[in-house]
Amino acid sequence: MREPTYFVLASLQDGPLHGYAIIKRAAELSGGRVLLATGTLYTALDRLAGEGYVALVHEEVVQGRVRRSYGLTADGTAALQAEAERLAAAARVVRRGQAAGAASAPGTPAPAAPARRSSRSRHVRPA
Amino acid sequence: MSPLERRGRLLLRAYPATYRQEHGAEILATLLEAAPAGQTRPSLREARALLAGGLRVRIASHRQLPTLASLRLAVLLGLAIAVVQAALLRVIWAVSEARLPLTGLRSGYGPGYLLLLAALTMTAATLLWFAPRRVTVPLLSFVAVATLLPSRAAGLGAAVPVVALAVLTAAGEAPRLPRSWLVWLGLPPAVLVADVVLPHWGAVAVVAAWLMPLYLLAGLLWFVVDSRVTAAVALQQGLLWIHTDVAPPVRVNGPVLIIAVVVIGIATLRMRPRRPQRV
Repeated sequence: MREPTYFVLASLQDGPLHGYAIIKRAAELSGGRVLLATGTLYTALDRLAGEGYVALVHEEVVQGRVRRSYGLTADGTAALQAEAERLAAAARVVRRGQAAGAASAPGTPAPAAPARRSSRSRHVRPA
Repeated sequence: MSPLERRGRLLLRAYPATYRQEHGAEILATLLEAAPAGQTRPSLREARALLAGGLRVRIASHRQLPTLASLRLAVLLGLAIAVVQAALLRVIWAVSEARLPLTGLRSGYGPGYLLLLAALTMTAATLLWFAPRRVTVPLLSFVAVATLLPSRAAGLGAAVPVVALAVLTAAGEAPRLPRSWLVWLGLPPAVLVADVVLPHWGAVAVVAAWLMPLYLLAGLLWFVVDSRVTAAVALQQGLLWIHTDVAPPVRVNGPVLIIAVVVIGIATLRMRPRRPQRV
């Protein structure tokens, strides 16, 4: 799952949101790393709805403009949980390695993990 | 309407009309909400994402038609392009017969008759996408007969695609292609032929030399947006190829491109959508 997709799903876990609210929430949750462009958001929503992960739950007209809210489906919640578990397991591998390295060479500080931009998050603009 | 909204609407045209009707207002509202106060044009990042999003929806939507329906539309469009092209060739012949004493290029028709026939053919090919079958089928049949009347030998090659078009139109539901102006794709190859028929037109020669490979390349790449168009260009190129008067310059200009257009056109028509549209 790509990072923008992950944060779109994550932004909906507390309840349905409309387009701009998803963009804001995804930016908050990712610490400003995932700044979704409008076109990217709706492409992601199209795809996620097609996969059955999100669904249109509410539609209203605010100041003459259509506002549609989207929510997570049961499948979407499960996919998000599975991805979170996968990421957590991947993080544990690194943390365990660091802990083992620190234990075997107590005088040597563990090298800091280099900041690396994922090649898969092409639509992500670093803040 | 603010400048930002106006420019946002312009960018939304990257999406197909049906998608815009359903989601355009919502996407525009989000775009306006997400823009910082005082911004008058969408940022480069937003513009790029909207253009890419529109392209993705176009690709997904045209692949939702069943293969047979896609094939039928591609054949109809290909025949329509070939017919428009044949009509434009008649205009060129009419000019050459009226102005230039070129031997060996006589079509057997008078210039006035050729122009009338060209106008009728182009009208029929254009109406095909708007008018009901009860209008277009008789008109196409009339054009086919009129093409054969004065000179059966010269008219046969031009009449065959018109007859095929009439039969295919009569056999199925009224075709609806999103961009009916595509029938005018017959224009670039006709300009190339103009260069052969009217060799003293220096400017036409220069344009034609560049136009034909560009035309084929565009037809080839168009499969990204709509593979029916690529298949249509492939069919039209095939018809052009078997037309002996026209084939030699086309062969010189791009045999590899023609083959690529044919292969990609046919192959991509069989692609099925991987993901359905938003519910």
